Amino acid sequence: MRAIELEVLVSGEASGPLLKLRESISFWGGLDPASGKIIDVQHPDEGQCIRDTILLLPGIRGSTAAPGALLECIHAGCGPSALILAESDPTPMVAVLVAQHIGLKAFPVYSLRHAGDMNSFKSGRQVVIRDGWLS
Amino acid sequence: MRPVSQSPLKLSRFDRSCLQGDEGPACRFAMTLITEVARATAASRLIDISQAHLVGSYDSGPANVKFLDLMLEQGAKVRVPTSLNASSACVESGSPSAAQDVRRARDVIRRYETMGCTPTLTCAPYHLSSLPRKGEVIAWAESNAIVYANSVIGARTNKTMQYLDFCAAITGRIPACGLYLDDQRLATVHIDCSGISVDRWSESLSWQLLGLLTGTLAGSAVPVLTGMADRATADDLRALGSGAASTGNVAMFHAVGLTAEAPDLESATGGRPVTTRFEVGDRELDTLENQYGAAPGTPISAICLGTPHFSFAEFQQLQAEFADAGQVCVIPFYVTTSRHVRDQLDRHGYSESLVKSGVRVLTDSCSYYGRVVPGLSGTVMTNSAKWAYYASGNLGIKSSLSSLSDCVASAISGQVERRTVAQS
Repeated sequence: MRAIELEVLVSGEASGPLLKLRESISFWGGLDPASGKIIDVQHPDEGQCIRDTILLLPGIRGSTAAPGALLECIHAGCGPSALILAESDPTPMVAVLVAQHIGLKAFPVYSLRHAGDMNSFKSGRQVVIRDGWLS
Repeated sequence: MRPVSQSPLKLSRFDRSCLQGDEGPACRFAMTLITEVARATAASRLIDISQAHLVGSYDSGPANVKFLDLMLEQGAKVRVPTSLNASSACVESGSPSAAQDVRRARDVIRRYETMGCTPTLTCAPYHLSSLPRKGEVIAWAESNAIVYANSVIGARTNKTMQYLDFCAAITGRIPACGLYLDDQRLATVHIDCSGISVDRWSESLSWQLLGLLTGTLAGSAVPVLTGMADRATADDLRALGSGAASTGNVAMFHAVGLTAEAPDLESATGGRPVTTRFEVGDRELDTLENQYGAAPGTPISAICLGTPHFSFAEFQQLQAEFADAGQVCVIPFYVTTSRHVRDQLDRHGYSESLVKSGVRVLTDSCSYYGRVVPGLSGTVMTNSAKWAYYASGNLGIKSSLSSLSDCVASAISGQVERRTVAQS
């Protein structure tokens, strides 16, 4: 896989297995914050766990309470190692800033510079994010 | 590292003084979060808001409480009138919610009150006397309220997320992006509804179904709908918006001749060509009606209405339905609403007759949040597209969407009654 350039929303480095969601997700109601599992029965990736993954998602939809669910997920130690959005969305950044304010260690957040790069990824692959590049 | 926004963010003297900590540490954090969001959304400046409506008034967990406590300790106070959304439990005395849930919800609400918020505890802030005027810049969370404010009132708000809403209330500022900007409010998707029969527009169920369909077709875009009835009630329009915000990310819609900024198609699109055009008719509504409605005769465990919170006009219709039927419920019948509307019911003497019919009016919360009302199982009937869309996932039950009069008939018989079953 070629290296892919990312837009930085919250800076940081990370590595781990990639988890690519096939559809956008509503974190409130769609994610169990206590385990990091996707629990939306209508989501194609229901049952997957976002904990310690490099989470790549096409978008965030649904409730405006999404940052609250993500914050609790971080607090429970079940957040991802990094989060990459196909389209820039401030939702995860808001959760991360609040988490940092109360002294929790949160994760870096990025968006793809080219949304089409989404197709270059497969779940399960080990990836590294450094200096705004994913490889 | 490159910032997402290439154009520099212009800050006012007040914005900068908040960032420097002149207004205290809570305000410094709030302004930092707002400016970060502004950079991520490529906003060039911040603008003043006149009011805020916060979604976080429910107990979402221990981290949320830690955050609120820290903000309190750091001197957080809201700078603009701020209302609170429905909570995770009914917190008035006589609540059907579990004692522990009531206590936790009250703990969160009390913290917001200490910071100057008004405990309105409703997802329908447009029913309150504080509703904004056309053109007013506000920061509302709660998807149905956002669509209603933008579309029906013509006030301006983005889909303000949790914590950003709170930080906006603390600073009185919000990034100038999205629906705060004139050109972002123009429709890019056209939904032609002239295939829907004229007589269907008088049924509130049609507006609910059209909402579900609109969300699916429009996604995150601003749609304009044409070919509709020449009159609609406030409840019809909010049913449309609430359904569209459930199946899609719709934060604003135009209905030509009916909504605030759409006297004609050209005003709604700004005269620009739309990217996509859809035609919808009776067949699409029939398909959805059958998809969301259970078969007649299916036993039901309860009826849940009031998502979003029931309006006074809806209560008047409900009371009339029971008066016409002359019978009472054989299964639990819950209607959620605001204290504001409930007090109106009391004043008009409706509450007593509703109780006699077997209707339980609940305030402060919503029956589709888990554990708010007991005893929901199997199939539950509703007249709300939003409830039907979310409840199965939230509560692990089956929902059946139908008209208000079918809900009343079904409450009397204890099974799904559908007086007019659509052709499939």
